[in-house]
Parts: sequence; C-alpha cells; structure tokens
Amino acid sequence: MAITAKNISVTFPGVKALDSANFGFCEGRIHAVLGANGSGKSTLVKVLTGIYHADRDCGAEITIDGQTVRDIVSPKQAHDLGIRVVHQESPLIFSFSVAECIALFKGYPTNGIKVKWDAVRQYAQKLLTLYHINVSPETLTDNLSAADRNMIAMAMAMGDEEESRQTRILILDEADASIPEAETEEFLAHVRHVADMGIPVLMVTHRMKEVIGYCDDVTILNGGRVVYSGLKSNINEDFIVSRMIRQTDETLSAKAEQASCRITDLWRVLGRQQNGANERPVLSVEELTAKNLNGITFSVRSGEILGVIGNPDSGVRELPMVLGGDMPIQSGRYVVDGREMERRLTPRKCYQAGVNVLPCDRPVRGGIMSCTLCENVLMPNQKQFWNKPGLVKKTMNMSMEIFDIQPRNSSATLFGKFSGGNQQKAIMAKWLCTCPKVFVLDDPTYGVDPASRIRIFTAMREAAAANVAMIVFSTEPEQLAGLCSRVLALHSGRIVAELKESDGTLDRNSIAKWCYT
Amino acid sequence: MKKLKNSFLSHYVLLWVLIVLVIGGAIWNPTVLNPSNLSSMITGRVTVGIMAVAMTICMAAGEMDISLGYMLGTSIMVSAFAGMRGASPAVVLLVALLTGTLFGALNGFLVVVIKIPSTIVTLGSGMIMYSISMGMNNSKSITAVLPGTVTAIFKTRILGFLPCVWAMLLLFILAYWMLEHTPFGKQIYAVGFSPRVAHLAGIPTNLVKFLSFTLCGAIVGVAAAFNIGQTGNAYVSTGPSYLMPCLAVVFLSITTHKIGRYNIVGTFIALFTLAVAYNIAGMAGAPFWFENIANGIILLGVVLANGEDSRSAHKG
Repeated sequence: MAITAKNISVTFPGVKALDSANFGFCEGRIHAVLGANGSGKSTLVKVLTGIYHADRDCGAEITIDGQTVRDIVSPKQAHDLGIRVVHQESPLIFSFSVAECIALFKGYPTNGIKVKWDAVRQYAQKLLTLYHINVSPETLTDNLSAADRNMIAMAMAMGDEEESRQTRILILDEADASIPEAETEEFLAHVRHVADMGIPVLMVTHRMKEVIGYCDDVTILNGGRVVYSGLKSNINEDFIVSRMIRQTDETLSAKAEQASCRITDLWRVLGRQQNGANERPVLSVEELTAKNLNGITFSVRSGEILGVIGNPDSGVRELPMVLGGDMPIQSGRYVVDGREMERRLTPRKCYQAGVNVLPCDRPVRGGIMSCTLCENVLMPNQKQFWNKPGLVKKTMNMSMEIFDIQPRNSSATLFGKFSGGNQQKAIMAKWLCTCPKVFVLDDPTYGVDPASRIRIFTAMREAAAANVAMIVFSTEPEQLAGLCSRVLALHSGRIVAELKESDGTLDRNSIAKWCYT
Repeated sequence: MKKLKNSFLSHYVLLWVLIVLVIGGAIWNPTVLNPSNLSSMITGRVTVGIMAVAMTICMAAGEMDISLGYMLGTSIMVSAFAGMRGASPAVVLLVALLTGTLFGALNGFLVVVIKIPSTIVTLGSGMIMYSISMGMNNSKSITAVLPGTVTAIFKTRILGFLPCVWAMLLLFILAYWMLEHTPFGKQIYAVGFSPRVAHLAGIPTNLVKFLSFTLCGAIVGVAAAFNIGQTGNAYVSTGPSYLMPCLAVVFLSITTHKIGRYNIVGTFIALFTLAVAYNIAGMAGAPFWFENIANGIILLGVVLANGEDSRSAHKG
C-alpha cells in the first residue's frame, strides 16, 4: 500500500471524532470514504493534511512510501510528503484568467524586471493538456463550468509531470459538491485519469450513486470508527446505507432529567400564549417553486413534528430558507395560520407571522459571536425587554434552565466563548422564547455534543407538546425516526415519498436510504 | 507590556494612561490642573468630541463615515450663507442642524438602497460636500453673520464651562443611553457585528443603518451649529482636519470599557486622554505638529498593550 494510517484517534472536547481508525490507500485506485455528517470524514482529511493532529497517546502511525511519521505537523509537511488536496471551495480567483490563477499558486516566472507572461501561459497550457482539460489559458475563471473549475483545481494541486511524480496521494475533499449532476461524469472520468497515472485518490463525497460507479475501494465511517473497508465490488448500496446509520438511538433514550421549569412557564412570564390544538394546518405550501425546488406541496399541524430529508442536492438546503423568507419564492402559495404570505417575503415578515427558523451554519447565520449570550437570546424581541432588567434576568435564568445552557449565570459572556452545543441551545431559546406558531429547525444537531443533542430533542418534544408546529431538517436523519410522526423525502426539488409512523413506513433504514442515495 | 487578562486593569488601560498623564503632568507642572487650563483644554476638544460621538454610532452599525469632516464644514458654510442672505439667527442655527441631518440621510440612503460600501459612498459624498462649501461664497469665508448678542449667549459660561461643552456632555450621555440601554442601540450593534444574523432575527437592518447615518449627520449638525453660534464666522477650511483625530478617538474606544466594541464610554475616555496628552505637550513647548505624533503614539501604544482580541473590532 502506498499510504497507510494506523490507530488514528482525534478527540475534541466531548466528542471522539476518530476512534483508533485504520486506513490504507493503494496506487492507481480510487478510494471513496463514505459516512454521514459527523462520522469523521473531514477529520481524517484534516489529519492527513496536517491541520488536525492525532491524539498523542493513541500510537498513531502514518506511513507514506515506507516513510513513517507519528504526526503530520503542518500543511507544509503534508505537502512535502507528497499529499495533495483539493478542497470543496475552488481556489480560483474571479476575474483572473486561468493562467494567472495557476501562476498565483505555482509562482510567477520573472526575468528580474517583469513577469514572463509567455512562460505563465505555456505552463498553464502544459497543465491543461496534461490533464485533458479543454479550456484556453486565457479564459476568465468567471466563464468556466463547475466541472472545469474543479478539474483545474485538481491540476493545480498535482502540477506538471515532474511535480506529479512527487504526488503520493490526491485527496478530493467534497471537491465534487459544487458540480451539477450532469457534469459529474466528466469530472469523475478525469479523476480516473489521475488514478491511472498510478496515484492513489481519496474521495470524500456525498454523491454516493455516481461515486460508487467509479471507485475501486470503499471505506465507511460511522461515529469515528471504520465499519467497512474493502472492495467496492463486494458490497451494494443497501449495505452501505445500513452501515452509515448511527447505532445509538439518542432520541429514544432522551429521558433527559426534567428541568425545573418548562417553556410554557417562560411564555407565561413573557405574556405569550400558544393557540390551542387544532386540526387545521398551521402552515401549508402548495406547488411552491424556488431555487432548486420544483413544486412542493405539504402542510403541518400545530403540535406535529414533521421531518424533511433528502440528499444535499434535493432542495433540503433551500426549503428552510424559503420558509423563513430568506430566499425568494418563484411561484406557489404559502399560507401560515390561514393567512396567505406575500410573494416578497423577508425574515421579519415571517417572524411576525409566527414562523421562526433556526438556520444551519451557526457561526454565520445563527448567532453573533461577539455579542453576549443575553443579547443573542433577546435579539428578536428587544422592545419587550426595554428598561426591564428584572424581566431580562428572569427570562435568561429560565431559558438557561429549560435549555440547560452551561455554565449558568453567564448571560454577559460573549457568545463565541460557548461550546457548539450550548450555542445551539441558546439559539433554540432565542426563537422558542417568542412563542412561534411554526418552528423550522435546519440541522439542529450539527456539531453538537451528545448531551446537548439529547436536550435539544427533549426541548423539541416539549415545544411540540405545547402546540408549536415543528419542521425538522436533519443531516443526521436516523434521529428523525424516533422524533417525528411523519417524514417527507425530497428528491430533485420534489416530494417523492411520505413516510408515516401510522402506516409503518417510518423506520431508520428507509429514512437513511432517502438521505444518502 | 505584560498581557493582562480579565482584570479591571486590562479593561481600562486607556483610563490608566489618562490617570498617569494627569498625575504626572500635575507633578511636572501644577498649572495642568488649573481650572482655566482644564476649561480651555476641554473647549478645544469639543468639536472632535461631538464628531466622535457621531462616528461611534456609525461604526457600531458596522459602517464608516469619512465625510464627517467635510459635512461639518459644509453645514457651517451653508448656514452662514443663509445668514449672509439675511436669515434670522435661529434659522441660521437650524439650517446648520438640518444640513448635517440631510447629508447624513443622503449617505445612509446611498449605502442602504444603492448598496455601495460606506467608505466609497462617504468619500464621494465628502468630496461633493467640500465643493459645495467652497462654492457657497466663491471659496471665500463668510464672517459676522450672527449679531453679537447671539454669539454672546454661546459664550456665556455655565458653571465655568461654555455651553458647547455641556452640549457635548449631554450628547455623550444621550448616545450612551441609546447605544447601551435601548432596543435601537442593541439593534445597531447586532447589525454592525453580523448583518446576516440580524436580518434573520427580523431586525430591519436597512432601516437601522439608515437611521444611524442620519443620526450621525444630525450630531455633526449640532457641532456645526455650536461652531457658528460661538464665532458667527464660517471658514472654508474648517472641517476636514477634524476627521483623523475623531477616528483616532473612536478606534481607541474599542480598547476600553467594552473590549472589542466601539463604545461611548471608551470614546469619552479616549477623547480626554488625547486632550491631556496634547495639552501637556503644548505646555512643554512642543510645536503644533506634535499633536498628531502624540495621537499616533497613544493609538498604537494602547492598542499594542491590549490583548489580541481587543486590537480591532470584533466581527461576526
């Protein structure tokens, strides 16, 4: 084997991202690393590229061409060892030509006074020819297709013939994520071409279907452990899905110790009240179209927990933004509590109508890291707390109690100083304080430690019991089986299946299948 | 300097600098604490102080208004022009206030509606304002537009200080109250730190930014009104030279009181630290150009002495 990694453990506070994992990658083969979010895929890539480091006492060993190291200390060392990586974000700079972008990364040849533009172009042409990329070096990067862009990124990582001989492994870290499905084949053909040069290729991807067609070996990660490693030909899709499912069922064991007060108590303090249970749907959409959504129709009743699943290209990323007024609706009806929402929605209008969204991407859209916890929690509704320090204190104390935000008495601490789990619980508090009619949660457990996860599920059940309609989008879909009574599966921007608890179709395997394939 | 964490000392490095300067200055030359010296020192910083209040609000909202200096000059010139054309003293003062407000609103409009970065908008609008102030009277100054009885009112000392000093203090208090203790202030900070999160939280981010700019302009208008009220004259060259000292004061504010945030208490302390430093330098016979050297040294020194997380305003 060209590269082996043994006994790799990586521990973060509260989470074991990799647990004594072993890997081996062979020359000339495409090796797909599969796993649900949080299974340790990206941690592995970061260990191999010197960004994260294996735990000191786990006896980690990384062997590259017979040379063994205990740890790759820096990205520079990773590069010196012949590890090349293409990241999800393309390294190309807009409004530069392809040749210039390549020169930026490879160095500008100069004659001491000015850049030798001829040499820049020649080198770029050489790379483009070598990797069979049918693009002129003069092309502006703005005009490239996503597949071309990624192939150029790959070519830049590998370099010309001379440099590519030093390449010991090429890592594609979700490098195909931005490529539309139609162009994936073309891109994967190029990946095969690189492998044929005798280089091991490690692909981390969520595009299971396409990748399985092209790869030779598969490693499946689950909760930081390698649960399968071997030939692709021995296994099929069902097997892979069954291995990717998380084994621990936190939703069922979610008997978190009861908090001394409940969300309904907090609403009473704030003078808010939820409508009584009602058979009429509180939110419904009809033939809704928007970016990546081609006609969605569904409704949700108060007190119901509805799950929505699908692979990342299916529209599950866009739907929560559309519901929250953060992405324009192209056509269709959107009705909240019997009132039709206008076409030009804003998050403010949705908030006023009673629809709150807990967004994914916590640091950018969820909370403000340099404001205090208190400022974050009270943000949507500051007017009510104006000049009422007593009410602020009471609300904060109750929120911290209900959502178990640790440490207590930290409402003046900057938000960025809290752990991911506590941040997420605080953002839940921020929205649930306002007593929404509908609460949309986009991936609420992403990057959250197990204890906080349990608390988040408990809080969701409590809110549903208090007649809030909940819509949950999750990248850890097995969780939904224990939580939801109904789950919608999206594919290509449409709802293609409805899994119901009542007719027995709602189980972990069928949910996982819709998400991963 | 050793990095001090989470102590009163580290949160108020600037205040310690101020105290050391005052005590050291007083030992070196007791006239530093002389009431008449203090009064003239503070009076000399009033315009910078008022403009720093305006700038703090703008920067807290995540934007920068580099037209403030020109805005001051233009507001003074426009109001003097009105006075020259025979407007009554009350109208002259009102025109100064309104001109600032109007230009502030214009800046806000361009930033929010046409979505141009605020540094570009205010650079452009600042140049236009400068031209307007030059063009008002063929690049000549306008003098004696207010009768002596009016300027006398502006020169009546109340408890030893001129009215403009009291106005500055009042503005500091109002701005402090607004930024720290009203929902609007909280919204300004939320928008400044993360427009994205604020938008998703239902805060009308555009309105908040527009109002911040308008308020900023109105406060500059107040400075203009006091300027013309006190002298009755309008000089074409007034204005631009106030921008840099004002920026220095506001940048220093993030090292004090609320670390990592533009804040009014910090602005207040910074204003006086720089004032005392310049005052002492002046007494020691330093030439006029020394002021900016002192400003620069204190700005860089205090920022360096602070921990890394207070060297610039936080983002996100």
